[in-house]
Amino acid sequence: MTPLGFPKQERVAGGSIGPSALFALLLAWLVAPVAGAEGDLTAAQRGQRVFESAGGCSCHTNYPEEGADAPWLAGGRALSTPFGVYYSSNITPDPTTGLGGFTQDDFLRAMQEGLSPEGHNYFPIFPYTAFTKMSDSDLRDLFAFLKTVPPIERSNQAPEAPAPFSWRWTITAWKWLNFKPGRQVPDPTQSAAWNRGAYLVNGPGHCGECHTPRTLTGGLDRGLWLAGSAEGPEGELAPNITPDDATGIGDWSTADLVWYLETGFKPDGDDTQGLMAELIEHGFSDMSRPDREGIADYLKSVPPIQNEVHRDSGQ
Amino acid sequence: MSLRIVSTDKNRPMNRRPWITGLLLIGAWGFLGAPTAQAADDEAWIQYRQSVMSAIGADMAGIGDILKNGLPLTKNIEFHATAIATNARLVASAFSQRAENGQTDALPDIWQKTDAFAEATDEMREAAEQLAAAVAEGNDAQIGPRVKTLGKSCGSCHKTFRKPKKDSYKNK
Ligand code: HEC
Ligand code: HEC
Repeated sequence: MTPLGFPKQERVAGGSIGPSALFALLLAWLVAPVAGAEGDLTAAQRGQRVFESAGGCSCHTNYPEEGADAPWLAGGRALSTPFGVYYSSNITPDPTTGLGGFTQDDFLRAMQEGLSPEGHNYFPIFPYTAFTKMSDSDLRDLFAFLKTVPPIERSNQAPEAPAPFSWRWTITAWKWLNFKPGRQVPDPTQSAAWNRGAYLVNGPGHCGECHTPRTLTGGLDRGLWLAGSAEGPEGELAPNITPDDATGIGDWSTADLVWYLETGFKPDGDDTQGLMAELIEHGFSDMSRPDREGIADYLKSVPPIQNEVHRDSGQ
Repeated sequence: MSLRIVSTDKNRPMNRRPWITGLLLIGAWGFLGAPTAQAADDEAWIQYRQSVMSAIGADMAGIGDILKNGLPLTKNIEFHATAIATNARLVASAFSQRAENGQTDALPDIWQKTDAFAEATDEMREAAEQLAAAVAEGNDAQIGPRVKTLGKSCGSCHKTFRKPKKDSYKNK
């Protein structure tokens, strides 16, 4: 599905379409399944869809410092957190500095367990707390896609964090407190669209990693799930996205959310900045419409939490 | 009438005292009153340029409402886009005063990189005109891509010239 819910030009053979036809088309998309049979796609093509649902793994490209020409997915992006500055890693298939040496199993273990091929812990800035919810098949496809990315040689950088946040072994304790490995379990009482949305939000979309405030130990404060955080990655303020009327997005309709994830425009016509804008531009806007609708369905169903996020609120 | 008489009566000796008092008063106003007047002035400029931006935002919201809900009002998009292009013509004057004291998200670069700011304004105006043209010509297949281009023009100016969300006056 193309951005903005409009067909790719080649698909509207016969040229221009009238306003009523346009409305009919928009309606058709609402009910139509994703264009093209999934079965026809290669693993790498399916993996590209997974990649998009993860916001195009934007943290791994240094857009802020190197602009649009930044080496794609080669890492080196500084992510400042209250616990120090961490640098994203090179996830191109470069054999020495990237994922070239990873087996498929290595990749799954990294994503689902937060462990490197050598068996040491990854810093939790890498959101494996969310990726652990992802299915094996999606991760295998994602790995196949990442293999198709141009390899770039660029060494990973150590974090600039004070002890103990720079020690990998302390992560064992951190994991014990804050990490529960395991796949997303479908809820049979909910619709397929809702379950798809729940999977996308909690797994690949890793929305909670930014939109949920953290506890003193840097774990996600699950009592304030998606209720906004003043200290997101890069020090950004991630708003409350629970359906609370006063402090969240209770007044957003499903269509508002679908449109937002496609264009970055909020119901009041203002746009989006920072990391969220990147995730939309490089990933969420390319998701299929049913996937964005699933996310909207799910988000509108999570418990509303009243939590006003301010710069100085510490949450 | 009396005005004409006074102004033509050049031979009348002039009493200088009121002039001097006047000048002194103006001097005192400049010395004591100007700083507060300056701040009030800043607030007025900030409020105005934010009104221009909010108007642009409201038209962008209107375009979004039509497209995201499939309202049969495609033709209205032409008017919203034209309104954005019109407001784009107000941006240069709305930001002509370097007003920084107050509730604002404007970054100082607006008054330093003036060429880049003007370019970003033109980018928005052109994108809005292109969108209006697509609707006027019935070229519906181009509406989506052109809305996207217009949307990008907002982001590219905001990225450079508007404070990021975390520093916004709205989140203080
Ligand atoms: C890397 C961090 C990050 C991730 C991951 C992330 N967001 Fe965001 N999100 C942000 C930030 C920062 C903002 C504020 C951007 C702005 O308004 O300019 C934001 C804004 C939003 C908003 C607008 C809310 C409002 O009131 O303005 C919504 C809705 C949203 N995100 C939904 C999501 C969803 C759904 C996901 C997962 C599919 C997600 N986000 C993943 C950081 C993130
Ligand atoms: C040439 C630069 C530029 C362009 C192009 C631009 N903006 Fe802005 N915008 C700004 C600046 C600067 C501010 C902050 C003004 C302030 O707070 O004083 C702003 C603020 C805003 C605000 C908040 C106003 C408020 O009340 O605080 C909205 C809404 C907005 N812009 C919408 C848009 C939309 C939508 C577009 C594209 C159609 C757009 N802008 C294009 C520079 C720009």
